[in-house]
Amino acid sequence: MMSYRNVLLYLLQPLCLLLVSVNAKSTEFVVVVNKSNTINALSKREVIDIYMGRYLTFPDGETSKPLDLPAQSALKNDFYLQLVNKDEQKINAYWARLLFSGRAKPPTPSTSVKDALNKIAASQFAIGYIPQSQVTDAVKVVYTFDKN
Amino acid sequence: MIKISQALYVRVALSIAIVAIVVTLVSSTLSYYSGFKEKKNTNYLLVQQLAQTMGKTAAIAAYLNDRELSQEIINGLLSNDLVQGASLEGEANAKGEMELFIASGSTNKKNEAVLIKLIHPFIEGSFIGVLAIYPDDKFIEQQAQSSLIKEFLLMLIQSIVIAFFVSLVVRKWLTQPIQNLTDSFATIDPTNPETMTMLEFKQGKRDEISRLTHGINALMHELKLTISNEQSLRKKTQELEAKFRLIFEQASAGICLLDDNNIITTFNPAFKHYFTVPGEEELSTLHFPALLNNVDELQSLLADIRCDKNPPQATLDIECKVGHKTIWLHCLFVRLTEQRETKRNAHQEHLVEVILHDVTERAEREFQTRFEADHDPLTDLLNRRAGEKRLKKALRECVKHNQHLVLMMIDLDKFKPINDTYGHEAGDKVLIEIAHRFKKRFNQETDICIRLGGDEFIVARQVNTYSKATTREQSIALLNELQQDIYISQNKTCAVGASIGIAVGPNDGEELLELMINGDKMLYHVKETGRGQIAFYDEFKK
Repeated sequence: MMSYRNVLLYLLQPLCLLLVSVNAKSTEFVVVVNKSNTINALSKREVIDIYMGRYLTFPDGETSKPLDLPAQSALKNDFYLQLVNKDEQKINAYWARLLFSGRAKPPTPSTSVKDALNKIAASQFAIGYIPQSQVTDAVKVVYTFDKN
Repeated sequence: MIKISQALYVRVALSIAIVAIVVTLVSSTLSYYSGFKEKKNTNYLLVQQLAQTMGKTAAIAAYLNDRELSQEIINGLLSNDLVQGASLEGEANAKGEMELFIASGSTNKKNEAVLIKLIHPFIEGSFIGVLAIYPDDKFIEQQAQSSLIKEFLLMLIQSIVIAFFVSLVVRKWLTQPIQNLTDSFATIDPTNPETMTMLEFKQGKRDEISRLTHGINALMHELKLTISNEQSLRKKTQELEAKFRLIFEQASAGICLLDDNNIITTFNPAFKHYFTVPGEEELSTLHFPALLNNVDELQSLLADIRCDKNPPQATLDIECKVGHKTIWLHCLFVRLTEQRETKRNAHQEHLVEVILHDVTERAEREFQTRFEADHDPLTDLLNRRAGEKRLKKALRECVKHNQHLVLMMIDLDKFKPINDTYGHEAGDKVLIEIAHRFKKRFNQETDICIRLGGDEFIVARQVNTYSKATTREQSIALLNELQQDIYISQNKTCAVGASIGIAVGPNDGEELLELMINGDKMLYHVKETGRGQIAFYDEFKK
């Protein structure tokens, strides 16, 4: 039996999502790496390949260790929407599918943007995404999402 | 050859079964091929759907170049019965090397494979590999075959059941009644109308067999009546025929039928008996007139009788020579008209029936009577009445044909004394002898010899040309002969003389009476002037 509240929730959910996505569009992400990393720029495709587990290395052959922002955060959701046009749930389903068979592994989660920045600063192989507004000198921006 | 029962219901059932089996075979074959194709298409679609469902995972596997995942996908596909083989291949990289190629099962029939292009999971419109699935034709075929066999068996069972029940129905409704009909029909013997009884049939039924039975019964009823009538009629006819035959064959009169050419077509034993001498089997000729003496007369008579305007009957007494005997037959000719054929035949054949019987005895008696009436019983010469009749006729003919009739009136001389002396018997003998001498000298057919009475005679002769000299010679010769001796008994003779007065018609008289009187005159003249002489009337006149 569906209660009145549940019905209301079902009706509201798409609306919330819409609001989130509108919000996300406004967030501009940049992909950053350790300063010592030789890579100066990445294409969107290369970013996708790294984040979706196709390659475990940077294009130059160096090992890559991608970082995720905290799960179920608006930022993570926004990032994946902008990157591959899929929300976090779909990304999770993708990884779940590969959990038992694949050698690909999902990016390592970080607790916050700050944590992510720290980790990137500390590891030569790390790669992460942060809102453009929070970029610091400790990291190197290799990809910026087009505003379009 | 297999012996097949002649019974209809078996044959009907067999033919239905055979047709059903043939139809089943054909339809099964057709449905097999169409079903096989359909199944193949269905399976292809199923395989396609299967491929579609696996497409996404396969795309991910291809994207990640993940062999384990790929192998898992392929194995998963292969576990399906419909799939014979499957392969997954990734896109060649920039170096031209294929980074991923996983294949399992038989993958050689490239053209039948279901190919799914794998789309990049994250970048739209970018292909990263191909998933190929090969449908299992053998499996499909097996499925189609098993369904075909099932279908075929079902139809076969259906056909056999239908054939069986059709045969039952045919037997119950058709064969059995026909058999009954045939059996009851077999008891009927057409030659014996008594067996022509009604055939059994169920009252109130209106099906074809009942109607047929009904019709047969009606026909048989009519036939029975007809045959019975015919038989009684035939019996009557036979009786009648026997009677007629009896009449015809036992008749004492000869009966025969003549066709148009006077040929005898039928004759009875009596007829044959008349015209054959004993010991002879066949008639001498079948041409009727030829059997009798006067052929021409008969033929004209027969022609007359056939003519419609003449009376249809005629009688004739005919003389006929059979062997050495001459018989007289009284013949009755009757024109027969076949009444039945009058309307049919324009040319009508007139048969003539001849009924004849032997009248020889009667004819002879008649002849005798007439002879006796016309002749003097003593001398057999014509008597006065008949003689005068003949003379009258002869004189008429002479006048008509410019002939002459020489008439001699003869009177015997010295006859009365013989009668008185020797008696009447002697006188009769003399008269008979005299008559005999007349007959010897004259032709009885053409000349006329008459005994007028007593000792008076007339002898007359018709001549074409009269010669007095010849007549004189003849009369003198006659006179001389008459004067010869006459035996009145064994050793007694006597002699008579004669006086002759001659008158020649029509010169000496155109009427007989006149002629006879003139002759008589001359006779008396001779008697008065000395007897034993002749005298011509023309001389006396002068």
